[in-house]
Amino acid sequence: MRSVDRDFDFCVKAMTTSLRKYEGLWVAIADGKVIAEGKNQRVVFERARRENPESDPLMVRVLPKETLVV
Amino acid sequence: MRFTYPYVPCGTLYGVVKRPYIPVRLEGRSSSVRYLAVVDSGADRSMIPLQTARFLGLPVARKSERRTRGVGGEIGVVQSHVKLTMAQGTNRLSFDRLVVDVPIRNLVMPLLLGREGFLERFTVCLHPRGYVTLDIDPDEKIHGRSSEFNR
Repeated sequence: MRSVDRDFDFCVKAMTTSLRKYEGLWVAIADGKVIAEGKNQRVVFERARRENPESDPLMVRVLPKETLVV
Repeated sequence: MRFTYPYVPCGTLYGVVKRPYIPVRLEGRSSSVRYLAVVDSGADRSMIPLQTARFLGLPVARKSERRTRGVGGEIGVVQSHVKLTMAQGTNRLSFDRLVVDVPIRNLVMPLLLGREGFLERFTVCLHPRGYVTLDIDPDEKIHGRSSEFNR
């Protein structure tokens, strides 16, 4: 199943694979790929917009594996 | 109106868990940003990290801090509100003034969408086949309605 949102679909496919290396960080995803990452979401967002001014990035906190949502 | 999203498989100490994340747009005084948020059917209220609230320019008044207790222990939170928009295909739904709690400390946490003011408006189904659906009566007038807060 796909969601119609390319960036969301990227998360579905990549959260346990290519996004694992960003554990604990914020990532900005646009056009189905990571365009910026870091600890501070404001910095990450601004870097993403500098990188791709037309983008409307999806901001994702890649949770450490110790995190359980309870 | 129906919104359907596949679960997002996430790595944990206990192996892969599939979380009901959905993409939402949050809008505050200074920014309008898309985020992944967890549909948390067990949460009384919605909660967003302090860093997100500050980035969006949400009003966060420390003097209104309250102590709340959950399964993770006791934390101080302040109440704020945010505009939230969901969009999928031609379906679009906005909550102009969704009440959210903001922890006063920087916590590693996802954005959590709880019942008050949000999930209570939907029929939510966490399907065993790997997706979450949120259904809302098309006649319900969400746009422009405010979430209430018990003072």
